[in-house]
Amino acid sequence: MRLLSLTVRNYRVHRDLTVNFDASRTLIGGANESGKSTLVEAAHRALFLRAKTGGSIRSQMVSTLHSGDPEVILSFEAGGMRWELEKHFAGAKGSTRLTAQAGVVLKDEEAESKVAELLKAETIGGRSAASQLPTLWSHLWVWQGQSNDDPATYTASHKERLSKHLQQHSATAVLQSANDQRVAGHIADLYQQFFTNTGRIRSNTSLDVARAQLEQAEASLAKAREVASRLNQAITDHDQASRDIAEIKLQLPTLVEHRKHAETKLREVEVLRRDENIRVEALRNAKSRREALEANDQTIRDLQKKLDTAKAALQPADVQLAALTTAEQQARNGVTAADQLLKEAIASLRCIRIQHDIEQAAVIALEKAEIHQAISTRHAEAAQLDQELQNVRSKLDKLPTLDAQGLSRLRKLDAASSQAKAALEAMATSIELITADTSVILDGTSLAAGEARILTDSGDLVIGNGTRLRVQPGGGNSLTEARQRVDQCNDALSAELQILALRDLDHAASILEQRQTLEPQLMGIQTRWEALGGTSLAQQISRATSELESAREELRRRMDLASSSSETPSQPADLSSAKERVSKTSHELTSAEAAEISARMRVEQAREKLDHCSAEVARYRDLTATTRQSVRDLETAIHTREEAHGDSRSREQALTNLREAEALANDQLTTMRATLADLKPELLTADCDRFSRAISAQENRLRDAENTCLLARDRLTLDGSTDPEAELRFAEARQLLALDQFQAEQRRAKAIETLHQLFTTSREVIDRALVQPLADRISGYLQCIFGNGTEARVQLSEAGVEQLELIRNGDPSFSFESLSGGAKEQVAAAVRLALAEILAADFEGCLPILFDDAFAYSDPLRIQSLQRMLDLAATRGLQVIIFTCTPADYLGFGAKEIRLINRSSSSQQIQP
Amino acid sequence: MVTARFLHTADWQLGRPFASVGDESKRHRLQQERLRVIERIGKIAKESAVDFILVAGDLFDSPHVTKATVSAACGAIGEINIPVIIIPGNHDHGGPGSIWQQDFFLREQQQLAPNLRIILNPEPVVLEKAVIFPAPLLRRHETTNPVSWIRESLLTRSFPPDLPRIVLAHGTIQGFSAENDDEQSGPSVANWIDLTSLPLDEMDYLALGDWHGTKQVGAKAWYSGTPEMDRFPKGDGNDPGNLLKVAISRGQSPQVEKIPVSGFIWKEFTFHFSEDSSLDRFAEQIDAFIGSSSNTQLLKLRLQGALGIAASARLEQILESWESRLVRLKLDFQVTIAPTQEEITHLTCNPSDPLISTVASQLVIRAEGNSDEAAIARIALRELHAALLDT
Repeated sequence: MRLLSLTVRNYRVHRDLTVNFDASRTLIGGANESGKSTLVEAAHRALFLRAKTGGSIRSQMVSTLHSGDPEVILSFEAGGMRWELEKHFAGAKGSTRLTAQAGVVLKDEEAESKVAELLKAETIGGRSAASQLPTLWSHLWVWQGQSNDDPATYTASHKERLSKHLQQHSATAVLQSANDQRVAGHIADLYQQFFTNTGRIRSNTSLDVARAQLEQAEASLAKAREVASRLNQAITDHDQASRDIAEIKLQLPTLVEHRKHAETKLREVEVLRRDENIRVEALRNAKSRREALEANDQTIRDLQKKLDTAKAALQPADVQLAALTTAEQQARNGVTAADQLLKEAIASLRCIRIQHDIEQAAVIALEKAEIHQAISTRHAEAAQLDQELQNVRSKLDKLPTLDAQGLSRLRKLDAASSQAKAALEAMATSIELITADTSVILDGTSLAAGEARILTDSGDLVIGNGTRLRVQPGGGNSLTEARQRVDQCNDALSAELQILALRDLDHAASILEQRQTLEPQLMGIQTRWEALGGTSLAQQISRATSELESAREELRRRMDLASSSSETPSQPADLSSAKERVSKTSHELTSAEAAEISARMRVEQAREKLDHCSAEVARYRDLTATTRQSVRDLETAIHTREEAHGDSRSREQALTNLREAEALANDQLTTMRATLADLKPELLTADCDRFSRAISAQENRLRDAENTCLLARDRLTLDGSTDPEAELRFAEARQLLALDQFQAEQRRAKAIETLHQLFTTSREVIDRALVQPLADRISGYLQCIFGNGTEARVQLSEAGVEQLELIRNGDPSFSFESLSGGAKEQVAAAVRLALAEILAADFEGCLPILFDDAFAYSDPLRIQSLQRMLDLAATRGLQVIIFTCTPADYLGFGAKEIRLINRSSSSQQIQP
Repeated sequence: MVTARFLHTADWQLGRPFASVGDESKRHRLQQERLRVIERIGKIAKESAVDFILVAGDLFDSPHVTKATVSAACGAIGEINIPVIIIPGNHDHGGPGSIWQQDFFLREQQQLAPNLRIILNPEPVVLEKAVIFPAPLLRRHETTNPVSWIRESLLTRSFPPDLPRIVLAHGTIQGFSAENDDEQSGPSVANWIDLTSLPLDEMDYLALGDWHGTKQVGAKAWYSGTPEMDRFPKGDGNDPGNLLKVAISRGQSPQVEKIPVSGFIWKEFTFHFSEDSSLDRFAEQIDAFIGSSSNTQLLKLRLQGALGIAASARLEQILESWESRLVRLKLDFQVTIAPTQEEITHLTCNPSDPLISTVASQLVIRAEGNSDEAAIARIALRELHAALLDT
């Protein structure tokens, strides 16, 4: 089925518009409100809305701009023929006219039926039209705003036809039969009976009950086994205890007999032990007596030995002492000689030192005298200079105190006065009387011939008697001022001269010259005076005097001191000889001092030697004294002991006796001990203990065994209501039965689980195989947009195409719902195209598909790749018609392009 | 010449629980039958005018049987009115706390069965017509030879020379073991009666118990077997359900007569299914094998081979009937239940039911072999088959 052309009249904005469609690709562009959607709607209504329909659905079609009922004329190909369908929407008066290619004309009801037949769909009229109309061919008419609807909404009504075609496409895939559904349902029910949704066993199922029964049976079995084992244990206990009792009763008398024997032996041991103690005591006494005597004897021998040693040592000590005494005397003599030598050295040293001191004092006194002489000479010179200084200073004092500056100032004042005077003269009128024959009187003063007078003020010049001239010098007030300045300058100069008591400038200059001669003179004398010491000179001289005095005093004192001694020292005449003598005496002094030190050392050495000899003598004396004392002590000690223990012979005898007695006692003890050892007393005690322990242990064991017997017998005495062994058999049988039952149920549950899983997976596989051609077509379209790795998965159910999933390059799949608005539009378009392609088989391989601004959310780049998809659909035989407000976006589609111009009066078609 | 006439029996095992029998009334009947055989023994004893009855151990099934069993046993024995001489066996051994020492038993014995004599000591018992050399078991597993005392006793004591001498013992002799004959217990070397230790020439008869089949084990030595069958017989030589009527004189060979007394019959039957149609043959053969008296029979049925799903469902029905009719049906079921080729084709090759075919095909592959998975797959196939029939 293919649309050829559409003409609309009096339909909303359109007065009369015809659009001719391309067989494959048509692009209809137009701005908003240019009537694109109206064309889409008009074509749809021409096909599916009965012409006689009234109500709001019709009134919406009526134009407010153009009078007349809405008319639509649609040309199309279907069933191998061309048709022209003309609908006049005039409510009850509406009419339909279908003209076949062959010229046959069908009208109204007949025409509507034919259209429905050609479209293999119903046509709608009446009240339900408004709600049903949008659902018709909604997979081909992509209404504005519905382009991203879930494919299920527009595929449900085509499910039958679709599955029919899909089965034709696929040889292997077949739709499940009702029988399949029933059995699968039955298995699912069985599974539900056994398992929860999470795959766990439901409670109260036969399996669960069997398990509970098995658990119960196992618990009963464990209990029965425990009872039976308790009984067996009791029997074992009883047997063991009985055997124990018999054994103990057999052994006990033997043990008692053994103990009695051991006790008898122990008593013998006790008697022997008492005897042993006595013997030990006797032996100890004999031994101690022998040891005491041996000790004394030894002591005496030791003392005698010591005495002999001491005596032997005494004689050489005496000889040594005598030698030491002689050495001591010699040393003492040595000391005396050394002392004498020392005394002499000291005396000589003293003499030289006095001489040396005097000579040194003399040197100092002479040096001081020289210094004093020098200072006195300088002092006289200074006094002379001072006198000169006084003279010059008095000359200066008589001159006025004028300096070069003062002179200069005076000169400036004088120059100012001269200038002032000159200025005055320049301004004044000079009157000079050259010759006069009459008197000329100027300002009352007559003016002599040749006299020139200067008038600085107006003056009356009287010539003769009758002539009176008033001379008026120029300059006015300035003249007065000049005159005043002359006066001022003169005053200033006079005042200054007066202050300095000067007559005039010449005088001043001569004064200054005098001063300038005297002042350097003064300065020179002053400098020389200062160089000689100035004011400090008096102090210097006084100090030199006092030092000279004290040096002379010192020399005198030393001379006095020397004169008191035997020798009289001579005094040196001058400084150089004095210094020479000092140097000589210094040498002498040094050698005298060295002689004194050496004499002193010899004395000390002699003294040390003497001390050493004395100490040796004292030591030897002490030594011999001590030895002598110890000889005396030893003799006393030996004597005392011999008095107590006899002399050496009697001691020898006594010792022999004591030794014999000890040997005897020892022999007796050894014999006694051997007897005792033969009895093995330690073992005997241990035996007694051992037997007692063994008897006690066996008695305890006997009691325990008897108790055990009683207890076991008690446990074995049953009330006879049940037979534990029979109970155990029952429990075992029940457990086996329950186990069998449980395993059988378990196997059945597993079998049902297996079946259920197989049904589920197999059903998916079959379903998938069935819809695979559809999925492949969708994938083909999607790959145009999203690339080669893209794949679509769908399921076909009663609700239509469902569970649409998009897989890209092995990434996890996206469900349709999770896609973005743009992707939804594109994926939905791919589904529509795939659907149309499959369904087109019923319409000679072609169906129109109209997209009304269907890619509003897609970006321009995506729209470019989208055109590839649309082109693929057209290539595969579909008639693709795009309505868009942005036709420029679709230039790459290569479609026949039609542009609508927005005009209120009429819309016109413009061919590019 | 004194001739002693007596019945030799053993292994009555009164109070045996028959725990593996699920149905309580059938279990009760099996237990009751063990008491009823005492009546039959008493009848034979009276008819044969025997001097006494020897029970060679295991009168009771356990050393702790219930009071009810004790009373029933004493009541039945008392009815016989002929001396019944017994020794404890391994099941009812005379150890501490055993039934023989319980006050209740002693009271019941005194009141109901004064003719019952229990020998608990290994000492000769001189009766009017014979001397008994008993070997009572005083513990379940006696590790020493219980008859070893007899030779010495002959040396130290003198016995009436004309009285025949009977050894009364319970246990195994070399060569075969009673324990192996037991359904539950494992093998054991305990309770071994060493016949070589006996002065056989001095003895006239050995009355043995423990082995449940009747068996002669020497010129003078017999196992009487149990009078009432209590298990499926093992092997061809096993012959339970009898008692022995014996007549002996000193120095003479014993005259022994085997008398069958068992009430219930324990049988074995094996069948191999080669194809589904053999099911009909099986039904016919089992009918013939059991006959009419199914309510006194116990059957051990061993089934082998393979059956299809539909046939196995039919087999189940047949077995259900027999399980109900027989006193016990012990089933050794080794039949592989797997769909037949026809069933496989029906399940897997139906193009109109693609889903079922797919599932069934996968199950058929899994069902191959002996693994658990295969077994489960076979069950799943049966379920699928059933579901297909049901819906």
